[in-house]
Amino acid sequence: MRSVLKLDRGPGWFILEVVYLIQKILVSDQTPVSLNWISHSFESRRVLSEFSFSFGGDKVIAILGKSGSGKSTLLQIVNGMIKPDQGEVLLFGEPINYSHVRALRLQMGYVVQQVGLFPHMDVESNICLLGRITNRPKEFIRKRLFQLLDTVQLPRTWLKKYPHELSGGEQQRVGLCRAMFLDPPILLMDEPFASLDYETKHSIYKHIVAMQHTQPRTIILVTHDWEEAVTLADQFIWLEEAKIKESGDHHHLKELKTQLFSKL
Amino acid sequence: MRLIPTLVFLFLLQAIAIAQEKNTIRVGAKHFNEGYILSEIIALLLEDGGFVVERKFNLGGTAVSFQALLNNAIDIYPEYTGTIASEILQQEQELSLEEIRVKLNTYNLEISEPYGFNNTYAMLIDSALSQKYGIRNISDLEKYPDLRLGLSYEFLKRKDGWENLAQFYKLSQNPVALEHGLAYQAIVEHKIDVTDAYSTDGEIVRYRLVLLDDDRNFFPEYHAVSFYKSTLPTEAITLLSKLASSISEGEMQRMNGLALYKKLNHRDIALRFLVEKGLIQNKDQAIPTDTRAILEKAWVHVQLTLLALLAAILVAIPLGVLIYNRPYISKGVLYVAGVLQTIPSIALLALMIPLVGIGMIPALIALFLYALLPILRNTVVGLATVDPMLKKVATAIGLGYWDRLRLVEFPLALPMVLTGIRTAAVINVGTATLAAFIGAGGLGEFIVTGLALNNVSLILKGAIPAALLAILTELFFEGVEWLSVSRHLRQKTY
Repeated sequence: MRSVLKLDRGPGWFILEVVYLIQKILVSDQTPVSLNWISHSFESRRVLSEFSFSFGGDKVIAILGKSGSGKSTLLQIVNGMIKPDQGEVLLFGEPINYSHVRALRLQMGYVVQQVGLFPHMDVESNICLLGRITNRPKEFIRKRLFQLLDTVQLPRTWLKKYPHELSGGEQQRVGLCRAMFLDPPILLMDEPFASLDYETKHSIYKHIVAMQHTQPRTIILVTHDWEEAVTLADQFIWLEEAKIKESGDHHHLKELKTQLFSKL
Repeated sequence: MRLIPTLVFLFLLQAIAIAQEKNTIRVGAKHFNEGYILSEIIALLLEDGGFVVERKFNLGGTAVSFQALLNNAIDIYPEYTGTIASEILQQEQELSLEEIRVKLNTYNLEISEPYGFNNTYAMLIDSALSQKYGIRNISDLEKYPDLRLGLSYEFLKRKDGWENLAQFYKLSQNPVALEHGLAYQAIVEHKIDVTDAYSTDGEIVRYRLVLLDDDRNFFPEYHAVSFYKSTLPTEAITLLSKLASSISEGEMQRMNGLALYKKLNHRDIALRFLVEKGLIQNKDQAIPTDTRAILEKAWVHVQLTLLALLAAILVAIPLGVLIYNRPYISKGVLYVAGVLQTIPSIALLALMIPLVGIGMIPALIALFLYALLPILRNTVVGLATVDPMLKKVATAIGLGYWDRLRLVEFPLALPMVLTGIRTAAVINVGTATLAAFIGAGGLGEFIVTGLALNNVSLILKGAIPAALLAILTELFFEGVEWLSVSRHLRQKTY
């Protein structure tokens, strides 16, 4: 619940606020992300066609598909980087206001494949960036920084290192910390582990699973790796030719995977 | 990084201080030995009378000096009546002193009484020949049609040159053309008998040549006078009036000879003259030492360079930020800046004169224009070549336009921007030496004077410190880069 009662404005206001709140609870849809009838094309190539889905429930939802199947486009539509040709994006029940999209993005952590750490900032500055631009108090920033480092098991002595001094896996863990800094209710991950080796991947999976256990949130994970999806996801969507080919829960995903890959 | 605002502040103070020195008289000089000596005479006389004098020598020729006087860049300089009439007032015929004074009234300019000598074209003859044939006047040449005349190219072409002279005096010799510098050599070696010269040339005394009297007054008169603004303080005018009829042609020839052959500096020559004539009592005037003079000029040089650079940074970086993601506009702007860059510096400086006169301002504008392109281009290129993935990530994680620019794009473009600033600074240190041509001062003054007088040691006095300054500039910016850019992001320097 993000609305706050303003008690200092007098009883009239208080009653109105309560009525407004009740109304909101009854009427509004609190699903973090709802995509309704989204269609989008790049030039003449259609990448999404009448796509509808709701992401929420503090679940990990994997979006599977070949490259070029519109997976990344979907993420960018969710965080307002791309305004779809048709359809509606609702965040916590409200349509995206594209002129104030920045505040929305701060509610969505974002992790990409090439990590996207800023090469001129050290580990500490990269992780704390969002805390600093949103003017969080210093003590808060410090506390949150150490908390996150512990979660992903990065030593505190690395704070002054620059990204190029870290391995791919270490960089991705820093990237994860940066995305999680403001404790966003939604986390968007675009092929985050694609370039990592098997062992590194799995050590990071561990952190994500642990995080979902202690502080669950809605994670949209774009990947082409079925094994990764099976390891992490509670739900899945399989995109092919701009449409949902298949979707379902973890169980369904597992079955589908066995089915698909035993044939090979 | 707090150094930079401090420097700026100091510059501004200095600029204000210069503007407020009201009691200062700025003396200009024309670009040759006689010009420098006469200007020193004026300067020393004024200093002796208690004025503070700023020497703005190296103004170049008549046009620049006159513009300087008109535009209030100098208060006074020595000029010749014939030059004022023909070149400045653009008159066809000779003017009397009174006529010149009346015409100058409209410009609020005045001239003093003549110093005495007349520096005009003259005919010279070997002294032995002069004695042998009794040739004293130009008219005497008529009787000796076989004399070998060697005349300068300029004299052969001029209206007050050979053709009219020959007609006027009915001379029938057939002159050969030769370079003026070689004429003295030729006459000494008896290759020629008669040549043309300026009547105050130092060579006349040295080679014992005889100046023929212009007995029918063919040559226009070029009397040296003080040429000054009407606003010059009355006490200064009174002081300078002591110079009226005080320098004879022989004396001027001797002083020019001292500069030419004894390599005495102009100030010493002027001082010696004034003391001999009893115009100055005080013999022990503090003459600034070489080191001090170099330091002073280097300081002006640094000011010119840095002020222009600072202005260029303040314009080019915001402009670059505005246009870098608008490809058509940035192409256009870079093109214009590039065209500015291709104008030869000396031409750009000359173009500034009719627009803003002479002195520091036009030099600053020219240097500013030169510094603009490297900084602008590197800002645009630096910002445009930031990894697009990083820009996308910055936007995606919630950075707004300013935060993205301030925290991501600009810091990543910074090494490139700094390289641009550094290039601009080094270009400016070099180009600023040329600024001396339009009276902006700086180390170029030594070079320009040295070139005018063919004095290599004077040229080096300017060139070596200028080169050192360029190296220091490089080192300074290397330091700035070292402080502000982490090592793995630094540009390679070659």
